[in-house]
Amino acid sequence: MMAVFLAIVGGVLSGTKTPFLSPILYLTRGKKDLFILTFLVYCLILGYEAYENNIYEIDIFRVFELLIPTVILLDLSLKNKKIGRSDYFFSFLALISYFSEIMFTVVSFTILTYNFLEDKPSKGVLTTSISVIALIFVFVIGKSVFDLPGSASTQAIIISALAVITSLLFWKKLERTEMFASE
Amino acid sequence: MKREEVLILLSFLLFVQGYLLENVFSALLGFSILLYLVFLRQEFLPDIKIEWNLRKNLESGKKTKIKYRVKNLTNKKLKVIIGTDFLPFGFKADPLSLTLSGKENKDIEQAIIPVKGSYTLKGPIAKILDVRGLYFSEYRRDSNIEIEVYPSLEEIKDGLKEDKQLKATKLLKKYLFGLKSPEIDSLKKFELGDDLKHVDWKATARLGELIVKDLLKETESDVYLIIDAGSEMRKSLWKSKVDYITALTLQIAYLLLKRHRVGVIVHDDFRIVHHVVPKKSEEQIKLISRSLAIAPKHSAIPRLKFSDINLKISSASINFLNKILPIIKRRKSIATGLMEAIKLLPESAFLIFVSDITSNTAELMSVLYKLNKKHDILLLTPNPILFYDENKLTRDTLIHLYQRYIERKEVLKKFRKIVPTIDLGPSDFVDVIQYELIKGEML
Repeated sequence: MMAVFLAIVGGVLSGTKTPFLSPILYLTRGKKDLFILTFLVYCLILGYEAYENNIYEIDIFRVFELLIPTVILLDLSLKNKKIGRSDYFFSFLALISYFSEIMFTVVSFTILTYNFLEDKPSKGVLTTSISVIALIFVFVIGKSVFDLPGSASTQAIIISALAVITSLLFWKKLERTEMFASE
Repeated sequence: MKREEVLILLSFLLFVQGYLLENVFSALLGFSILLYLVFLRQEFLPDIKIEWNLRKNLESGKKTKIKYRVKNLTNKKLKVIIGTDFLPFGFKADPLSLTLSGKENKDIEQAIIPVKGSYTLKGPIAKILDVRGLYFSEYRRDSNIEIEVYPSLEEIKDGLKEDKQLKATKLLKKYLFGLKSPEIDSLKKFELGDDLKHVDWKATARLGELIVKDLLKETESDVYLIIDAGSEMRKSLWKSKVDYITALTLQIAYLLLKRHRVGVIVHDDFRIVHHVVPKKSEEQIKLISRSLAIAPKHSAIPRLKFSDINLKISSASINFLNKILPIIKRRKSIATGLMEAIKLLPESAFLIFVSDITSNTAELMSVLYKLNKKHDILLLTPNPILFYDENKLTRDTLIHLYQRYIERKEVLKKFRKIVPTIDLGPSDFVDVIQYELIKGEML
């Protein structure tokens, strides 16, 4: 529930309409496979609507207003937890953070951290940190090369490449659940 | 397609979208989703321990419970599903599902309905899933439990109705034990306490005083059920012959135990599997049912009869083989299970053989011929053709089955010249046997 409130408030603050579809997404969380398919469509629509053409001139708050609620929505819907007291508390915080972008960013990160801390992460935190630092490092170092007019496609390729390299570096073999398999 | 693959596909679609539409945000969203999956992969470290317990002696068709203690050895929340694949064929059970928090232990029970036989249960197989349902791992507990599942007495008793019981008992007495009519030992004068039914009216009219018949006392004789549990009988083509024979044997034993001492000898192709000495106690039916814990051998292929192949082996070779085969098959001698079984039989008893006449025809025929001189014998033989799965009938199998039917008919004629023989199908029980006896088809 808090993910839906966060997404809607984020959509309002960033001026995008796609996050208003998040309640429909949230309702499908009972059927994981259906949720994953609707999430795919949701993200493609969001990616089309939210536009940034240069990573060096990015509105970082706008990006956080859309990215973080999307990841939280994905995670909480896959977990499909029962709504508890923390949901009501964080939903309230999300609503009142409408008045300040900074406050919204802080609340988003708090909810993200609280959600993932429940799983007592260890190796995952290190992997994620390395990946984000690597991304920032590459773009800081390569500013003179990548910060050019019309270089959005190049920047998109660099981001994609870094994502793939990071994934391959930290990939491990696991058995994966089939779509539409009974559990 | 896997669930994770859909999310990976989404990431790549967002990268492509970012490149084509010159939109950095799409690429960043794809990056975030891929990073999220890498994070989950790093964090999925399933480790559980399952301890399990089950009673060693079970009853067929009666619900029983397997007790589990599941321990989550990690500090992460996990979902565990205990399946039913480790249970033997025929056992009914539902999979169990539970969620464990970090370092949590839970005690749970799984209800199962077993089927008759002796089994070695290998450890349970559990599927461990992450709470997001993207990844799983399999866990197998390496420990075996040996169990014995006995036929259920309640099932047999419920199947018998009171009037059929009495009728069957009367007929069995009448036709099988030579008690067609009570034999008169002598005539005597009527005394107080004598039954008026036994008054001999002709003698009374002749002598002018009440004369009664003094009857020969009915003697209780032993009844032996000799059950063939060889490989042919255990073959499960559709309906298991062994399950049918077990039910039939228990029905006959249950009826006969009211008046006679009943014993059972179960033999396979090489040796005696069980021997229950004839007794007339209440515990006897339980002992008999335990001796009938025979597991079927699952096969979709009926035994082929190589009647076309003519192998001529010299007598020297046959002698050599007779010496070698027992060693190869780890038997004490060349005697088969049937030969071992008849060694245990008393001088006189009523014998009911339950056997597949096509497996050891010559040997069975010679045994019955010899025993018929001193014993009353009845041969019950389940017809394997009637146990075949009609859904698996093809043109070739139908031709094969018809040929076997014709051959079997000839064999049955030969057996019927020696002993009363009744050919049985999967739905034939004691009432059919009694009908066959009334018809006198065995004579």
